[in-house]
Amino acid sequence: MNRTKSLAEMGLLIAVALVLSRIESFLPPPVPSVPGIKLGLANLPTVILLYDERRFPRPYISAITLSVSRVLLAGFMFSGLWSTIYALSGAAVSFFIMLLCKLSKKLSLIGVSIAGGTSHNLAQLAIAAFVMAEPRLLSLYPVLIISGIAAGFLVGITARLVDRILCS
Amino acid sequence: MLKRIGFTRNDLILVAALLVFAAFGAWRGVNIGVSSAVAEKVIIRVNGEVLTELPLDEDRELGVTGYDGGFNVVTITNREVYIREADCPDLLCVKHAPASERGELIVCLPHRIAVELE
Repeated sequence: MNRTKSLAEMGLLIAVALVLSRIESFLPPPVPSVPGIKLGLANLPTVILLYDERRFPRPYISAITLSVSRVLLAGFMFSGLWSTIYALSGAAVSFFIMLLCKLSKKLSLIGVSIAGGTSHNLAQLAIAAFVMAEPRLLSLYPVLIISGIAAGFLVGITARLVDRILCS
Repeated sequence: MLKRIGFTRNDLILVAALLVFAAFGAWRGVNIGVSSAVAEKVIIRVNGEVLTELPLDEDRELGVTGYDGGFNVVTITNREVYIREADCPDLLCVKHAPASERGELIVCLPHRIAVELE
């Protein structure tokens, strides 16, 4: 794919990610006693890009560009500075974990997505506990692992379906 | 069925390991008695420092100014506490279910406000 086309497609994917993260903010929290839990729909385009070697010459660079742009744009449009910093740290940790898992070639796309969801949750929890000086928040980690597995699984299946349609 | 959607044995090992880790934490959490005890007071902290302590059996409402000047309204009613209003954009604290058991914690991350039951 030539540069112009991949640039256009990148813009499209960022727009999709922004819409998904906006839609997600309207959904009620699935676990009312831990309202930070969410599906991570906005991560879907990132996971798809991570596996899109045929269309993007450097999928990893494209995927991290997408992830960072989405978090910054969504952060400044829909939330404040601090929420953006939390979101950015979660996105960064989950991206690098997903990249490592993918490069290790041990996990499938769904496994990579599960690793990404779980590590995102754990990173955000650790940062929240640190910033708030509330180590007791860490006791929520089992809930966040389980929700990370569930969310990662759903995002992974969806990414696989979309990837098949896009690349066939 | 899982195989058909591309779920491999290694994925299963990852999920199993994570679940064991989660189960360990849940088991320890139960052991130190986090919940299902009657709470008596509400402790409100801002940026890690105790702002005030309130009895849970007295209905009242309190405006709390957090870090960065953020504002939240903490409401105590019928032995339950919740955050009724906040001027943060994500409103996760407002979406939090009302808390009534000892050890429960409601936090507002952008304003660094923690409401804990004891």
